[in-house]
Amino acid sequence: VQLNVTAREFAYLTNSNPSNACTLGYGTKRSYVYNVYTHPDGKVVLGTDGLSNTPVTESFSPAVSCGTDTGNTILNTNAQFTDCIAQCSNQPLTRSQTVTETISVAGYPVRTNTLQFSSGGVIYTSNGPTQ
Amino acid sequence: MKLIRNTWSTLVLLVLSLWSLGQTRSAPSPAAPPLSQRIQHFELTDAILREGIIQLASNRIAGLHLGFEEIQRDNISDNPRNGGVQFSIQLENKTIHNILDALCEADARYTWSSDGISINIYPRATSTDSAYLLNRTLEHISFENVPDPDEALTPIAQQLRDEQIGYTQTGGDVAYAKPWTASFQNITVRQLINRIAEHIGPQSLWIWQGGKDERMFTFEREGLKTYRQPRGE
Repeated sequence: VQLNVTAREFAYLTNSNPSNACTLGYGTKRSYVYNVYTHPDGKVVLGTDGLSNTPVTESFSPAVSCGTDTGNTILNTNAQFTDCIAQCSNQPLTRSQTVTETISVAGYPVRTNTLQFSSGGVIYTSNGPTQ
Repeated sequence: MKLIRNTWSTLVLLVLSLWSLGQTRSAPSPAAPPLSQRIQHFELTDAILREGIIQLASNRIAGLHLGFEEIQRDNISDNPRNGGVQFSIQLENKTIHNILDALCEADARYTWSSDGISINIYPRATSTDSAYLLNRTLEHISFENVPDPDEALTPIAQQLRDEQIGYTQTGGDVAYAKPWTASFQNITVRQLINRIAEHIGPQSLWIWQGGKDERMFTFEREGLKTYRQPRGE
């Protein structure tokens, strides 16, 4: 029996471009849906790959100043995950900080984002990688 | 022997580093009510209360719904460790009830109580303060097709226009399985937040934190991860 095997490693993400869902008047709330891609094939992980419940973890540098805590998540049955980034209030926001978010899938770092917390909510910028 | 040639067979190799449970090990018994369930080992070193609550939630005990109201800081950007009580505890084979008692003894500014299936930990000084947001009563409130706990806060803000109400979330996903429609009568804000969080799933955690001018709710379906800032930063 000859079986050709290709090892795939979690490598990078693509994300949706959600609209602002903050309904309290000040700030932003965006739920980003991520697809996971692997190296060396550059293919998206599919629901049929059987990787649902794979842990997705996040870390922040520097630590989020107000002591905000972050939730972990998992790959769903479509091999996607959702990451909600929100700062939303019925009165003007005062918090100001810029942090780098690192997202890892099963321990593999696959994305960094810059999150800028400001009076307008959270400005989200992807720093890749993109391939 | 049959020759199998797969031109593009794939094998996904994973290193599944499971959630770190810190230094806590639990042995939950599904049949027991959450307060009676035992944690085999619960240890905190130089911790503040919020870290203890989050560690408790990380045990993933089905039916455990926790709500934590942090004493307000001067400013939301202030380090929660500054001015807080730091403590170390090590508990073996204790119930959730025992652990909550120990935590609120370690930081006596707080107390805890039960509301149905939810457990609330809150500043002792607010217990009889009817002006405190979480103690205020709503005569009637309805939700219609709210997709997640955050959106359920909007009807509260519409009723309590003199209060600052907001939420913050950094990661994770707390969307309900299906949009939720419900109505409640004569319910305190704390009770209502409990119901909102319980609807997330079999386990939930909410935290109300921030400064005097900006207080934010954060919801999570399981344990949160908290970032410890050194005192003084």
